[in-house]
Amino acid sequence: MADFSTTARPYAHAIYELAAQQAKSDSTSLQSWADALANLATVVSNAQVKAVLDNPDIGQQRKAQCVVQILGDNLTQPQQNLVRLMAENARLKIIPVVAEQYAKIQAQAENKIEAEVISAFDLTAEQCSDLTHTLKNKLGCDITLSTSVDKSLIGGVVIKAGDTIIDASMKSQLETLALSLGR
Amino acid sequence: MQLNPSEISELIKSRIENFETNVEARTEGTVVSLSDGILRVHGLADAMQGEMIELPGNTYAVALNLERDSVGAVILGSYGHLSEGDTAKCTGRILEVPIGEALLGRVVDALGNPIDGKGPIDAVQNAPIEKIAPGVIERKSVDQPVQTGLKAIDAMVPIGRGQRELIIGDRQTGKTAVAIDAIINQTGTGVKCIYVAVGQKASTVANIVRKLEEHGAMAHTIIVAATAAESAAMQYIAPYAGCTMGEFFRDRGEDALIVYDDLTKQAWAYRQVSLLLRRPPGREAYPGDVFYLHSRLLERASRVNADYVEKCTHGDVKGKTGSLTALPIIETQDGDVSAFVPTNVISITDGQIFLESDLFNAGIRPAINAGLSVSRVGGAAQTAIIKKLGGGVRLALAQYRELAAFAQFASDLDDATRAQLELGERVTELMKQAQYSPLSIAEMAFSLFAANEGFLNDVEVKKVVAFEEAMLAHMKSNHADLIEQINASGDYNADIAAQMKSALESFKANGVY
Repeated sequence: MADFSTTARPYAHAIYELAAQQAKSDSTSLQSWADALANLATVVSNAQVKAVLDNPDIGQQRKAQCVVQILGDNLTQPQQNLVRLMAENARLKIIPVVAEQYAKIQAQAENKIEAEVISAFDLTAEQCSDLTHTLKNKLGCDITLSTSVDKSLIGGVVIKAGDTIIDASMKSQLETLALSLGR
Repeated sequence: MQLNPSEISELIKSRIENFETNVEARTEGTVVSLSDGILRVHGLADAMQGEMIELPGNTYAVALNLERDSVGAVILGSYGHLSEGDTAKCTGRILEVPIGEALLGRVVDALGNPIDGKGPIDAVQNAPIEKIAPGVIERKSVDQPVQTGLKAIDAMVPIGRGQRELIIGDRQTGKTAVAIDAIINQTGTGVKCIYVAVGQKASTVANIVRKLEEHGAMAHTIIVAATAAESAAMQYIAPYAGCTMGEFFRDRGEDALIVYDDLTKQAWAYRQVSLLLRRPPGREAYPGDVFYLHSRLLERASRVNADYVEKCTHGDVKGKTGSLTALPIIETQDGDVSAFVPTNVISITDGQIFLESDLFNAGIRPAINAGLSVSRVGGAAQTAIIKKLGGGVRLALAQYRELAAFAQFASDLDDATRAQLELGERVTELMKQAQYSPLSIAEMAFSLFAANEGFLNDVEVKKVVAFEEAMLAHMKSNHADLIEQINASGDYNADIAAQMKSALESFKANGVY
């Protein structure tokens, strides 16, 4: 798969700046753009829509119309304009990447990070708040914690926050031990 | 050996007891593409240049390209088990190899893993393969010789400890032979040797190991082999790995000699890696930093002063200087020294030994071209006696070459010219030397003395080699004390000259050749 992040970056930045500007008058604008982008991403990832987008016989404006029609009134005027603009540049297919980058920019601006905690056993509420507090100190931003259970870890937790992984599971320690003994 | 189960269990128990894991935050990324040993990883936002990246199955890669959204890395070793979507972890470590005395006598790969089947290496330390060379203040000038045991080199292009002397020539001109003879001649001198084989046939490396073992030179030698079958990344890092192993000895106040055989192939491997990483190609499709590739490697060969050694050993070794002498090898195509890599390395090194196929085919071996071979700093390090006697030989050869071209057209020559030509022919003959038969300083001195003092003038050109052989045998059996005296001091004075002269006269009177 080609890497579209460089192409998507200016779109994501432009959308965020516009949304932030609108947020001064309309406080829901940031979220509305995020939702719109998520919806658009779902639409263009749909197999049937993809077939239309990949068809060279259909004009770019026709494609834009098609996408806008599917979402109907869910899109505001500027959002519809975005679809048309991207269609004009033949970039409708990179909307999922734009959505992803937009989410990142928004999270960064709000100093929030989503942390996923995978543990061998269910975590108590107290443990969760402890973890949130510690992570907040370590990473220096607000933490949104989501938890899941994976029995194969045997014990301990694995915390994933963005690119950073804190692997304190029994499983990984045993693997390291196995490697050091096999040496 | 008797296996003792309890002992082994004890061992395992202690290793488990002493096993420590520290939980640390590490960045993780996803492999997005994998081709020709090149890995593109999405994520890994805080990867360092040259950092080791851990992949599944105890495989490592080195990060070489840090881009905005991805990291380009080369995989070290096989990558058949990897696939897109695998996780890649930062390790926070720059690539390291084991160093120390334990490596002597061993054959290792570019990562320092033993490949000679003699079991694990008990190395106590590791060091990064890329280090900055010692600075100006930490250096000392070259003033001690490295004896290669080859008359032609020690007399005409002397090499000093800490010097970088390039060995350059076409294929099949005896480049490796010169280097191997130099390693063999270090037996018993305390100079540790490292032979780095890059992109060579595994059979060639096996042959070299066997030859070194036969001549008892393996005990002071480390062989770092990245054979032709290994990945380009391994061939690219092998010289740096070998250099790090050599620096261990230099930094402890010892002397080491490293042979890079050859840097042309390393440049090819680096070109392959760079092109696959999509770095822009330049001249001959080499990347822009191919000069730096070799200059930073060869700068690390140096002579360091006692203060530096003391600092490196934390005061354990005082008042000793250390050195790492480098003999890089470059293979030219059809004698073309103006190609990109040869010109680069010629300009980096402190001189070159130029080997020619014409001379080689004419039976002059080592096939050294005395006119083009130079040593920019070795003269200061040459043993006194060889320096004194070798000057005449160099001059005789230079004049001979000039006259030989000229004399082809002249039918009638005056006596002086004829004498000069005859001496030149004999000296050319005298500079021949068989492989694996290094000479001591005294033996060389006798040969050179014989040429300088006219003892060869009445010897037939064809018989010069036989004359030398018989003469050296005579000296060894009848004048052992004089040989010992010369080897021990290396001085040259009227007294020694007189003794040598009388010894040679007695050989001429009684010797048979």
